[in-house]
Amino acid sequence: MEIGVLEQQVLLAVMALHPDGYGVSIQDHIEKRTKKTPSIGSIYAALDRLEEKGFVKSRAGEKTAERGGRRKLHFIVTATGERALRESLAAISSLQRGLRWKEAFQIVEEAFA
Amino acid sequence: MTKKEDADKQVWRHVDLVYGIRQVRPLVEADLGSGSWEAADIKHVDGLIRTLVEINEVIANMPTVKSVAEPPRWAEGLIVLFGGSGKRAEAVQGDLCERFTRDCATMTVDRARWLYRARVLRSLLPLVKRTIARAVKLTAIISAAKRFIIG
Repeated sequence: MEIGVLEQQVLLAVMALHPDGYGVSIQDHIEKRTKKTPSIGSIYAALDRLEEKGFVKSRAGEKTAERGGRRKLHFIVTATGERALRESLAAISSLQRGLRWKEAFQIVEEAFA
Repeated sequence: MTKKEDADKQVWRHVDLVYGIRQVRPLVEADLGSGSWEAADIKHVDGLIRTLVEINEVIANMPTVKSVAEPPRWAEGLIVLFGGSGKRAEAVQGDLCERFTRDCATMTVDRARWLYRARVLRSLLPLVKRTIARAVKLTAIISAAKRFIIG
């Protein structure tokens, strides 16, 4: 099953924050590392897709006054999710390796031109 | 299981019941110096937790800007209207509210409200798209089931 870029970032954040990853902490984590801030809505849309695919599981957390008495929704990555993430990252790193080879060939070609 | 391990387990069960290990563990560890205790230490940990609970209650009841300031109603209404329903919608509203509360502590309430509106508007499109996608999928499943049953 395919994973989008945001889904990848969300999965990595959920894994890093295990087992307390929730909307705000996931957003902060992604912002700190990528210098881009996905909206809360897009994070939840991604989490919804991931949960539908069986890559993450959610559990209701505690209510706090800071949140206007609303519950947090904590997420954890499932074994299937971890495997899908590994495959997806491996595919990207494989593509990167391909790029390096292309560059190397270009350098060699330029040297012999 | 040794006596010491059993005592440790009991201590952490107490800690976990009240707060959840992650929040309290560093405080308790800093206070006791190590991660391993005698059974008698449970009383001490209980006392520590009780103090923490009391502090939290005092903080929660303090009349701060946090409790006075409220996010703009119409923006909240938009999220209620388009954010879907159930646990996820509650979590989205809670997250936006949490951001607003934190903003109120670091900037003026007007600016925090402005940021809240911007966040709600940014969040709406992905949420609406997701709701539509779910509805379309559900409709497709229902019509497929109908075709299968009716023929």
